[in-house]
Amino acid sequence: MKRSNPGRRWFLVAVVLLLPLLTSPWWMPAMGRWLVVEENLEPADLILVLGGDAEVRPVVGAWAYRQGLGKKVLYSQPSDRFEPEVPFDPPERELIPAILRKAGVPEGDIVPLPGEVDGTLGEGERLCDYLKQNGGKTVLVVTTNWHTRRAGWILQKKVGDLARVQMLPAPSPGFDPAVWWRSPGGVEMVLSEYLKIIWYKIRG
Amino acid sequence: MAGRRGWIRLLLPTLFVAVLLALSAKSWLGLPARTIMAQPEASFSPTMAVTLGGYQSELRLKHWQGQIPDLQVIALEPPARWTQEAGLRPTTRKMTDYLLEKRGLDPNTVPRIVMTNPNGWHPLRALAAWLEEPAHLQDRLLILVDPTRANYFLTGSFSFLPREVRSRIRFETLPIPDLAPEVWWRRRNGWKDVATGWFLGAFALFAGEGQYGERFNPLDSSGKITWAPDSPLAGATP
Repeated sequence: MKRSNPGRRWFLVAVVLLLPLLTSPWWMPAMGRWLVVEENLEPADLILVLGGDAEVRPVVGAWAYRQGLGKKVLYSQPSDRFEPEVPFDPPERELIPAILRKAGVPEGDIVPLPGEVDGTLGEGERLCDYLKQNGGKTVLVVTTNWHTRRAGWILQKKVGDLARVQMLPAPSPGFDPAVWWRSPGGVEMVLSEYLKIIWYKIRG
Repeated sequence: MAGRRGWIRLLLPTLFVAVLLALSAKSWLGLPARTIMAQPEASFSPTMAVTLGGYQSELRLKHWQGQIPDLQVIALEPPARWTQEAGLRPTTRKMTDYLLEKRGLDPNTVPRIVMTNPNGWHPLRALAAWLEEPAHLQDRLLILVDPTRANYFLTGSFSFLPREVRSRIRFETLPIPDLAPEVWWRRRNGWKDVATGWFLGAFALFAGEGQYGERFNPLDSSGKITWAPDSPLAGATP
């Protein structure tokens, strides 16, 4: 009868426990960087600024417009659920075009995506409707860096063969992909985004 | 043969434990959500209350004012964002006044603590400094906080507040529908919030307050938006 060596068993347990710790300098930055999709930017027919983080995303969308990376800037209109608590604080559907105008995008090139949306899935559906009615073969999508992976999947899946979706990550002061674990905001975003990705992959 | 009998002998207790677990599922399923909740002990009677923002803070403040009519509400004001500096959004003072009025308070009678930094444990530091002022040495403060941040702030209060000040502070978490113990595990936001609450608590325990980046401000000195991304995006040309 062959008996296993307890010393060897404990050594294996220690290796299994220590391995993630020892390799963390590799996999922790990789986890953060994987969320951020950075592509070689090519001029697109349209720039789409996704809802949320309205103080940053439209500024990045306007920069892309000024660089000639798109002819029009679309923006999504979050539903009433996202209305600010203070009624005279402008909601995103007013704040985003105001920022775009201030950042140099002409009024005529700022286009709201028709219909209210509740999240990235809804934004994909609205974009699909828009492309069917108005055309456009390439869309440069602006969203916060940690959101680019999931948003890219969702939007490309919704749009299908109608257009090619490129991602343009906007910075997030609380999230540095290379050292996200050093800030509570970074931990919160990575955790939340991976959970949403798992949820999206399971539930669709 | 002996091995098979051993498995059969194990089967009954395993089944017994499984049935017990299934019968008590209602209570233990709610446990993870309860671990990120905080409530002051019944004997704690606050003289002041502050909300660190979040859903349903208004309702909880009303509840406490119903219990303690003399409760003094204080307001924490974060520094202005760039959209406020650019005149695209109302000032913090104007919005705070509105929220206080909405809660049935006279904005002129509510003390304000203007924060220079709203990140990390700075709100807690500002509140502790307030409680250490001679006029407030007898006050007891209730802090209404989002459950995802409760363990983070609680750990902060243990790590740097003097014992005397800490003894006069209690946290109460706001009731979030997605985090109710009976439903959190059926909702995506429930999972997200429980995980965030745990991780932020663990973060504070092992890493402390943590780092935070500077607020995004695309305005140049003349008030125009001239922001451009750092490399490598800046190098990307059409």
